[in-house]
Amino acid sequence: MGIVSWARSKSPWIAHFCTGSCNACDIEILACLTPRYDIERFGAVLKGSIRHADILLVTGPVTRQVRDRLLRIYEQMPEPKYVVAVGTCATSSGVYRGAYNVYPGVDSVIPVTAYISGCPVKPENIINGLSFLLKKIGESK
Amino acid sequence: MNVEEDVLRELKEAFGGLILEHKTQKMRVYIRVPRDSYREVVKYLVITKGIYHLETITGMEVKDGIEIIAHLGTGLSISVRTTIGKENPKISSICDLIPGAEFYEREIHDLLGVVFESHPGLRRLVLADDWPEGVYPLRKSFESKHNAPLREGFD
Repeated sequence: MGIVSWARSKSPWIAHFCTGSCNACDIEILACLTPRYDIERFGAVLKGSIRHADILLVTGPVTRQVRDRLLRIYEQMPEPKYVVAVGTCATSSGVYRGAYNVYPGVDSVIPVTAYISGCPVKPENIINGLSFLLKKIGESK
Repeated sequence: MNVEEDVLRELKEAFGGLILEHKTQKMRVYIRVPRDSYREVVKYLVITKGIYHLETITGMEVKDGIEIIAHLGTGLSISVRTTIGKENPKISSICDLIPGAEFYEREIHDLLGVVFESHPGLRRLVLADDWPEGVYPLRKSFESKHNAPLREGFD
């Protein structure tokens, strides 16, 4: 583990982007940030600007209208960038699969590092996915 | 006699033979009118009777055309339904009577391709900006499939 990847894995800054979800996953992400689950103990802070973030949390099925916005946000992220698909809709578009207005998951539009399943995801699952991702970040050079 | 029957009797007195079909339920009155009288019936309800609250306008493709239903009223709702042909579907707009109808008509135009004549701005409302012209996703002939992935290796 190099010192840069070690430092990175200790202070992951998060940006949250909703691509058309029902807001259940978004509320669970907010629950993670509250003192009960408190992902800030891993150094994770929710940032308002994507230009300050290391991790992009995407919730909801990617709709045709939001596709270009998602690509634009992804391109604005500084390297190295990690994308986490939060919830069933983001991983595989869930019950919306086959509908005319969605893409079959976030990974059909941008590369995804970690998938967190659940409808909605449990905060414990988000912490599990985040710790998996942080381990991966720490192992990278 | 209950209130639904009273409403239906008044409508029958005003329009007589134009009401092709009717049905009443608790707090609901359904009438079917020909396409050309749709606006006239809504105008009667709004202007003469003062029922100016529009709950919604729904559109659906049925066997012999596209069915448009305007649901009017508070508490007791009166549903004016009419069927228009699938080929080149056109109906007169009710936006000048009820300004709130504008968005419902734009949505039906997007999803079913119904043209509302004399609508102030029949622009795209719910579909994506790059959606192809002339493709209407709620038609029976539309084959629903999710959008093609941008990256390779996905179905």
